[in-house]
Amino acid sequence: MKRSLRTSYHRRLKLTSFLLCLPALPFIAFALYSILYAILMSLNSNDAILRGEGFHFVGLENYRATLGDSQFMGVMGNTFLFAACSIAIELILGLVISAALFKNLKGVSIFKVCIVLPMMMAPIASGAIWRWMFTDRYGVINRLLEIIGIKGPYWLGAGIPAKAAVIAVSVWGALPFSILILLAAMSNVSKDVLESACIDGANSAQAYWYIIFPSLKSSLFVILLIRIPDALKLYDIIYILTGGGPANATQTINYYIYQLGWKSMRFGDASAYSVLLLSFIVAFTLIMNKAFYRKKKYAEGD
Amino acid sequence: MRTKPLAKTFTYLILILVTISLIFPFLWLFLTSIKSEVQLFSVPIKFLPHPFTMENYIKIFQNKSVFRYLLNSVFISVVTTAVSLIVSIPAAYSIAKYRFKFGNILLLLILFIRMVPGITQLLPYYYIISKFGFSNTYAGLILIYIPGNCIFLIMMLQNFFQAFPKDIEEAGEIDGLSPVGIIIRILIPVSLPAISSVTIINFMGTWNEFMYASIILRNPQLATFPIIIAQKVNAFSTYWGELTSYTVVYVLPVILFTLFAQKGLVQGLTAGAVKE
Repeated sequence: MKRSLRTSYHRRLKLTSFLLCLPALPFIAFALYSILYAILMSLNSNDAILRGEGFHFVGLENYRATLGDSQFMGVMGNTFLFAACSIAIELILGLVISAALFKNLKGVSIFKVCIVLPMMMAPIASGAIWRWMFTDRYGVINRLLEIIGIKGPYWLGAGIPAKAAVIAVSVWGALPFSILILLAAMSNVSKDVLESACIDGANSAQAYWYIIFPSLKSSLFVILLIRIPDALKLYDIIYILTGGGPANATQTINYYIYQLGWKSMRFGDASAYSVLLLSFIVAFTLIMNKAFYRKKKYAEGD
Repeated sequence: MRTKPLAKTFTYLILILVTISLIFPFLWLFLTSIKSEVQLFSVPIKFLPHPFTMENYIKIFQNKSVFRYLLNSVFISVVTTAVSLIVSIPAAYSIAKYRFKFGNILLLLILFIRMVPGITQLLPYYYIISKFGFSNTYAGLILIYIPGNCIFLIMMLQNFFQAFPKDIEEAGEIDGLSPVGIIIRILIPVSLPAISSVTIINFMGTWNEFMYASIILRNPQLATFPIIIAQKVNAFSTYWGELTSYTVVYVLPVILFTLFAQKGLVQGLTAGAVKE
């Protein structure tokens, strides 16, 4: 008797939990369906998709075309180069700046407010204004460089300067995020430990190096976990700043997929590329998670 | 920690330098918008407009469409965020509280979908939306925005709700509240700070979104602000004065809002990330 009462209560709870999820389920199913659909499309022929002829299975033909594509290596190279450079710069600058903010000097709150702003800007809008700033003759960046005696390059018209420009704009937009996360993590460091270190005669450089920085590991991990997929998906900035040019020097995988699909109408190939991008991101995330949590377990003596 | 005067000066120097370089594009955006066409293209360039002009703003406000774009952006972002919140809060609560197999599987699915890049879903979304005749409508865009927003909201909120004290919940149960009653009367009021900071971030994501919007909304009447900004940049002749004044109109509410709600925003961004 008692037992059956408990199971019926259990069943009721189960039903309640399901009913509470119910309104969200159609949307989650929609997202899931679209992912399966994308995988299917990557196995469909370009022409069949374009003409809406339903499913014309071509096996891995699109993937073969993708890997044999003359652009493939360049596009991949750019995507990873941009991600690696911008994240490295963000982390280094982020550490320096959050350490400076953490000192809690007078007026620091003004800096904090200003530092958040770039993150709130639409990437498309920041790309537009940076494009104007990077203009060759009328751009303010080259003018500033001229004032200090450097002849600025033709930023968006040559390969390497254009790459640098893309990285600069990405760093500008994402640096606030790193600063905020690191700063929040620093404020979590126990004040007692810091004080006792001071009493033991540690100077502030030592306090940062031996106490504060080592405690930031999990925050650095979180930044990587969020920023790597983000950086691999670079699209808006490329769209508005360079359009992938000059001569594909700033072509990224996300923008290339858009061009393959909506400009060249090769939707099958585009889907194959997009599934590849998806698998990169999933692989990255899984590897990072595994590496981090295994390390953490060791550290906890588990 | 005591800071030596030299270190102090050095710290300020870093902060000022960084802040100036982070703020400068905003400043330049504004300065460009109040320059005349002649001033924009003078060599060497002038830093300050002299005299400054409002002609760009007058031009875009005379052409009434700027209000139209603002309305489009506001409408789409508000509806998307509202619907996403309404369906996500109960689901997040259910996952955080009951911990049945079903909820755990759902959470795993959500974590997986969260990794999927938007462009992978873009083509299928575009197809499905067109098939049902929703391409080029608000509804179509909102429909494809909601899944991603739900995924984000459920993930963040269930994290918050796990820390929600069980005692309060049980007190509500004893007083005869239904689960929905608990959510409306207790959960939402108590976790309002967390909910609002996550909502802000979600809203900003929709407000700033460009890729989906540019594919779905081909009709200029329906265009959101990012689409207009992208259209104004042209490889051959960009009217920078007009473009920048549009951008100022678009960004100004965001800046004011940031200054106003900075604390909640920072909390929302760093929540969960730093907890571990």
